[in-house]
Amino acid sequence: MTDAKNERQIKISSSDNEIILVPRNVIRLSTTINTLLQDLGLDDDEATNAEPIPVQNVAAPILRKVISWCQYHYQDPVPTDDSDSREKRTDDISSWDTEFLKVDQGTLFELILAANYLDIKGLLDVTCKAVANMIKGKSPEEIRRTFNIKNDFTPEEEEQIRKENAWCED
Amino acid sequence: MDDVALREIFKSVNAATLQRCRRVCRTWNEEIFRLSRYTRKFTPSSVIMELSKSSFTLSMANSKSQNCQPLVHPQVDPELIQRAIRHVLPPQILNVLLSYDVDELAFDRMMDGINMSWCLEEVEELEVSSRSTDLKLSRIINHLSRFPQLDTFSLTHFCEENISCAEIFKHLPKLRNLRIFGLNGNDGSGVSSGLIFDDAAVEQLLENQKECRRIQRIELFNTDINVSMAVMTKVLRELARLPMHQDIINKPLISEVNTYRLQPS
Repeated sequence: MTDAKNERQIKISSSDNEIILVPRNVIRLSTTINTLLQDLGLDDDEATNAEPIPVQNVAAPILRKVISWCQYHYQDPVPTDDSDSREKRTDDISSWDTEFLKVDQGTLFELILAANYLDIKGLLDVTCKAVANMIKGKSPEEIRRTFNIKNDFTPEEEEQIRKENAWCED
Repeated sequence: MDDVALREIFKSVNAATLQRCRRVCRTWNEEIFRLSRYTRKFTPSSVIMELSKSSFTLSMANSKSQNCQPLVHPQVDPELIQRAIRHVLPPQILNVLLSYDVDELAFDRMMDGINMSWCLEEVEELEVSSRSTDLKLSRIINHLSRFPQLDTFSLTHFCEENISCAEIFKHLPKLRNLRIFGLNGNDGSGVSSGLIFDDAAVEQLLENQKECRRIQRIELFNTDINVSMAVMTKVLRELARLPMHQDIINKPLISEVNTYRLQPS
């Protein structure tokens, strides 16, 4: 593994105006920042990135978490795009990621939003799998309790939805 | 949570959990509904739609179906069908069973409920069994254009019109197997009182075989056949000269695969 810290550093500013330095190779996992650097002509080794790149939607604590995930995973193979509807495996979260995702629910959702905004597919995958694992096997009421969601259906509407798919549920 | 995150989460759960997610709240239900293209998880290989004047029933027709409760509704409602099949991948086999009291309006409403992507993408075998004398066969045949991928079509019908089987072949250019069973009484007079397999039918059949032969089997029961010797000889000669389509060798019919699986080892 090459030492990412010896490489060119990119300045990123969080939504709460904290500036964080991140190695270029590490932040390559973010398609959003990658594209931005390329479009602004800041992707050459000689280019100086005097102004930090604003990441408006992500606060510093979450951005630091995201960067720590990228630092561990930046040499992973590029994940393939899977736009089909097949059920994904959710039991294949690595032990490092399992430890990484031991956070409160609010942080987990912030990480999903950040991964989505920064377009980091691997992080989006693993955080969504963690949420999917929280949902699996639970009743609608248990899911509502887990995520503090208000039931805004009438009993008739809920029954109608249940009926609509009872014919094909095995 | 935005739709991309929700989509990723919904993609990661199984079909039954996804349906429970629909009942969590309106937002989730609407998102699952909207994203159903990505979240279709139920995979019935075979679906049955039964229609009568007083009820519409939707059910699966495979080994899992014994665990499922059919969807029964007092009348056919296209929107209900669309919602019910929205989260279901298109089946390979679709069975449509029409009772004696089905009229054209009810039949059209049922067919309107079937998602076009279902028909266009996957349905390879269609069985229509109509016992209704109020439902014109031409109405059924008009709906066949929705199923361009069909390789097997089975039709049981009452036919009071004079229609050539050419009309079926026009709509189904990829057809490999056709089975027709007429429920009309046949008085043996030789005068057609319904669906007829005639010169136009064999000529259309030949026209469908583009550079290679797809057709494998035609079974006609209680159906008038009126093909002239000259046309039949010409068509058979030309068909015999065409090479077989590779599907005939490489892609066994679903019913053949199922029969093979059912045989004791």
